[in-house]
Amino acid sequence: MIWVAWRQHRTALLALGLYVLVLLVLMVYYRATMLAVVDMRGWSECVPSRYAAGCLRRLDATVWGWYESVDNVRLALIGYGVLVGVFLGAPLFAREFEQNTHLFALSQSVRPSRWFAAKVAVVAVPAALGALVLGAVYRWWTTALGKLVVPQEGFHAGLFEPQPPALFGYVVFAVGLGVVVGLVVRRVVPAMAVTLVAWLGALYAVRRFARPDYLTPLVLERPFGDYRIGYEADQDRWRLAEGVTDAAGRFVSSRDEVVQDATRSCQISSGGQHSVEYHDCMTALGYRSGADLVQPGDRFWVFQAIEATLFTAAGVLCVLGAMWWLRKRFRRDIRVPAAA
Amino acid sequence: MRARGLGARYRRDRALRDCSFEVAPGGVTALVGANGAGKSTLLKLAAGLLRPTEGVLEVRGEVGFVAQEKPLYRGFTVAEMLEYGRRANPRWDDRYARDLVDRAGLPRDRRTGRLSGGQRASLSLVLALARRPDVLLLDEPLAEMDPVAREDAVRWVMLAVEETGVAVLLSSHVVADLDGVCDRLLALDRGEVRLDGPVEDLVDGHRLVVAPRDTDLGAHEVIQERAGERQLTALVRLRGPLELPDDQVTTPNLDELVVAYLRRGRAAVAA
Repeated sequence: MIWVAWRQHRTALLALGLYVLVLLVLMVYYRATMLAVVDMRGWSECVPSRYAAGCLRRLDATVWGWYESVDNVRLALIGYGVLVGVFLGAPLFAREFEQNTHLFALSQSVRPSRWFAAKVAVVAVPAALGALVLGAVYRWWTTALGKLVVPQEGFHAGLFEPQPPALFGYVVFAVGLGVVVGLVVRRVVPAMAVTLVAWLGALYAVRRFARPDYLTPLVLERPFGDYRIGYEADQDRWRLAEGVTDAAGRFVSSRDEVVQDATRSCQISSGGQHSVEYHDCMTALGYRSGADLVQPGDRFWVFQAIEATLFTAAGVLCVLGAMWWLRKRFRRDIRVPAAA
Repeated sequence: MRARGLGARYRRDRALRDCSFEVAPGGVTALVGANGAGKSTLLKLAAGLLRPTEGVLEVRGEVGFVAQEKPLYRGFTVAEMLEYGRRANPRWDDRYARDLVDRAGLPRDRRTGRLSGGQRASLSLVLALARRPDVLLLDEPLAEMDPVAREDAVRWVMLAVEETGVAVLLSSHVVADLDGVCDRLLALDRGEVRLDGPVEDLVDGHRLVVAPRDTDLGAHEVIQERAGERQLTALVRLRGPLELPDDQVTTPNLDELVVAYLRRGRAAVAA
């Protein structure tokens, strides 16, 4: 049945393969040309940190252009997940039902579950491998240029989402979601639209609501008004919020109205945030110190593992659910084997 | 294949109710009825594509099925469809399949999306026959075929019945197509079985009477009658010998028989 599934979906798979190839070539090209520029201008000490000696002054517009290149490729990698869901996952079964070919496929001797498994495997395995390769090459490219191409914190969506584990999870989920939507909607174009919206919605919801709380964030204290010291200590961290700690050491966000009022009045009375007076003023109001709510950079791979597990599990559950439904719906228990 | 009290619903509509019948190996059973009578539903049930909501349906052995839509993968060539059949069916007879495809004049390298309706129907039939099934379910197999293809198709099915003893259940809403093809008749109307039996017995057991209006038909069951001013036309089921002059009695053909039963069923429903 693998041959049958491959014959059916080869056009879409080859097109997807072409997309992967173009992105790979693009990333290899970017990496080579960017490294050449770094060599030529002697920027290598700026790769680990833009705050290294004199880097901020020496870097020029070339580097700002690199941010944009990386961002475009990141979108293209997220787009890879979209393409898998919309052009491989959604039509996988929707087209069968739309053209009634499921009546042919499901009435052959081969069991419906084998037909289903072959189709899903032929699409999911190459798509997931593509995600791993794309993610690995993206990582190989961006780590070589460090902070020159991704100035943000290490957890920034731009650096977090195209990593191999996360991208793998997104793609598995895209296939599973497309399969389920296709079986429910049974029309190719509506199934594509629903898959697109649902997949992007899931990604956004996780990024916005779930990911910040995968592990309990840490409260890191620092002097009032000093925003750089924490970042320079851990440039790969993810700062969820900044604020202060109260006398008991509890974190209070700077968006809190009481804290805002306190900050404002102390700034006025002491003429800025970087003075001993400001510190004394805030202490007098009952605050212990400035603080950041952060996920430290060394949790990066734990977060990758959680993200990948979450999406992979969702995708696998979709596929298993669809398989269970198909077996229940097209069970062949009315058939009695022919007497030998 | 055997059904007892078989029923199926789509949401709240009843597509079939309380159907009981048997299809024996080595014969062709014609499934007739108007559009919407439940023929396709019955065949899909037998093919395992729908689940009965009530009753029991037993199907013994390998089942070949050709759906009414004659679905084929549009991007596949004829040869690739045969390859699909070969890979999806352990009993696939490849020489037989190629032979039939050639006889039907189907170009092997043409995509099925570019075949005519009749050619698609022929290819669908070949794909089902080459599986060498024990039960062959054909939903309107002849509908789109031209007369030559139709004759070929009927011959292939008859040969398969003779050679392998396959049980064929074949639906049609054109009863005339089936004359001389089927040996058993199953007439459905609005989801219910109206007539079921061997064609020979059915034809032998009924007479078409055209007699003067006041003729007494005695104990014979009148299935349908139409009284004119002076003349009575009636289809009767015989209960013993019919004592009428020979020139007033003829043997009905299948078409007349089926129509009479379907009309009677509707009259009963309307009443």
